[in-house]
Amino acid sequence: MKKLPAIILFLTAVSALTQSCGESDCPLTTNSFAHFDFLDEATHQAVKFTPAFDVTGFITTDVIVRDTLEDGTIKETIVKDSLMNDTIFNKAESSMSLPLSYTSKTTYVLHYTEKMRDTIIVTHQNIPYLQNIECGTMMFYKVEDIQYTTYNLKSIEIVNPDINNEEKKNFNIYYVVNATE
Amino acid sequence: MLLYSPTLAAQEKKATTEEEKVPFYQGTTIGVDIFGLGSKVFGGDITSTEISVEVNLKNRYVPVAEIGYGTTDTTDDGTNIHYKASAPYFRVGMNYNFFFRKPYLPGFLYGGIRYGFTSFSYDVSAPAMKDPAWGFPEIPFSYDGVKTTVTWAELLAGIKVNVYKNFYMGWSLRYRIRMNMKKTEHTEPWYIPGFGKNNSTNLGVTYSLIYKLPF
Repeated sequence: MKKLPAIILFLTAVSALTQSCGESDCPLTTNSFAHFDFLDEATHQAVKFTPAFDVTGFITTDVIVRDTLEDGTIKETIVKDSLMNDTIFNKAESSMSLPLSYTSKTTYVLHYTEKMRDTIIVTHQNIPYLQNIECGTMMFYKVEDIQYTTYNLKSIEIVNPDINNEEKKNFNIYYVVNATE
Repeated sequence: MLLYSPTLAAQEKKATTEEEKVPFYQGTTIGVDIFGLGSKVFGGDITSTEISVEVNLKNRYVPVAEIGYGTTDTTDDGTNIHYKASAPYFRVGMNYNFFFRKPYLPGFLYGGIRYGFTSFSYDVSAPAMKDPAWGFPEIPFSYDGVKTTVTWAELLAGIKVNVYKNFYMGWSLRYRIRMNMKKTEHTEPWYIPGFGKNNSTNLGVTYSLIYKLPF
């Protein structure tokens, strides 16, 4: 029992440490991206685009339009409008990670060349999520449907419909390789 | 060289006999943890306190039941997210007195295990979420009365010292391992009464004032 004071001191120090080291681990990123891989339709091998291409994104959302009437009153009308994000992904070569919007549909345009484009429309459910109040809120998504043009790409496969802040593949885009070379 | 010593054999026999003579029931103690109350005084976000009942069997095995109440109502400075929860929690388990052969000492060291349980609801609200890519639209974030249930295990080491007649005080350091937690689609609890901040493992401390019942 001669060691009692030392033990009490140790426990006090540890308890102080547990109080001061209360920081919890936050995820490295709170942003969620849809991950696409480009694959050869025949061999399922990776396809690399040379030169790389850019991707633009569109959303359609409700916008309030204010009109001034003849009597001077202001009339507010809600209309659908399209918003473009022209820097959603630069230089896609063999894969791309694209953000989804907080609306229910996100549209991407893949600009292979000036005249060759494909459009992909992802319909998704938005899931606001909070893991830790110290880390902030996150938006997760569940893919409900995907529609696309097939000017250059052949088909798109949904590999994992759950899109969150973890890096994992969500879509495979298949190409006929001879057509892209 | 091995020599048979009648004296040594007699001493061992005497010790065994004394151990066998230890009464099964050694008393009941009631303790109040005040460490969780002190945390709030020093600016912490969380307040908790608990009462424990311990039954000493053969001065060696100590079944324990603990019931407590934990509460928090806080807003994070960095994220401006508000979290509120208040609920009781329960633990049952056993302590093992490492000094059971030395009952004449004024205190003892022990190890123990616990099984903890709480079922509660919490409110959480955050500033509206703004689409980072398009800047539009904004989504509100507010969930009230989110229900969850959490169970956990604890491994602990502690010390208990007699300070005056039937009064004791004790420290324990606890390593908590979350076993099950009911998640919801939109949130996870930030503070779990009886467990602490929500992580897969956690460290906790208790400082108890203890009274040994006179029967």
